[in-house]
Amino acid sequence: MTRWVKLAVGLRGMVNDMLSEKDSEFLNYLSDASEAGKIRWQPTAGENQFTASLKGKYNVVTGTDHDGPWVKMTNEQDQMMLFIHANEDPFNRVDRIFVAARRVGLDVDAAIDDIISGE
Amino acid sequence: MTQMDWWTIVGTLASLGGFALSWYVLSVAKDARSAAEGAQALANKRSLTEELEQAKRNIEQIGDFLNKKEWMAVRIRAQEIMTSCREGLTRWPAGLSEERRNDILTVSSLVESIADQAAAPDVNDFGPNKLKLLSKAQLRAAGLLSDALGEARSRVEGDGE
Repeated sequence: MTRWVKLAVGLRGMVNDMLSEKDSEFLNYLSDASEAGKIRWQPTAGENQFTASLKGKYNVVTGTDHDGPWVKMTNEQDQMMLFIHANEDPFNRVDRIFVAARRVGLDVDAAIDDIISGE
Repeated sequence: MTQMDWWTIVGTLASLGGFALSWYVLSVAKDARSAAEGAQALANKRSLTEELEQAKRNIEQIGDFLNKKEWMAVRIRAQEIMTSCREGLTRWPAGLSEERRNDILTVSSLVESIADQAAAPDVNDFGPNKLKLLSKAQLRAAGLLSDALGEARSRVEGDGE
């Protein structure tokens, strides 16, 4: 597995040393599971922001800013555990997570089915 | 039989009686302890139910405050709900199933997003689309809280029978 040595500066002044292998595994899991519709993403009150909870312990939020999508994970005490911006991920998994979250959160497939069945 | 034999028989019977009494006392104490533990577990679950009921009342109030555009009140209630959610998950880790715990975490996240929006500098200029987004998040959070509350209540009723 490739190791990235770049120093990635996240939003809100947080600094991630680099994307670790664990972070990368997490992004792989989250992008695959989101695209497979296994994660119940829900739209928040913020525009283009979606949230989901995992294992009864962790909360994941994805959204966009002027630089592109991001993903953050918090624990049940609302402490920030992870914040990964799309520009830190060379394999575009953060973008894929955001697109899949929007698809699930806004029920895009059901909307398309609705339109097609009405023809 | 000699008088010594009689004393031996009496002594043996007395020690058997003592043993039986100790056994009885031990079993009663054990039953009492498990009953107390059961009552404590029930009381804990009742408290989780109360915590979630309070959170549900607060999310309903947020709905009213959103309609009235009382943003400070929205933020205060949102903060209270987030605290209830955190406390509920920490104090009663076994009080809800994993799915419902996920729901509570999602409620906390949705409510936080409502509070963030309510703190925006242009909050008084929010158009109908933005207000609809807030209202939808509030309704979604209320629905998830109802689901969790339903499960917490049914667990209490199940244990209370």
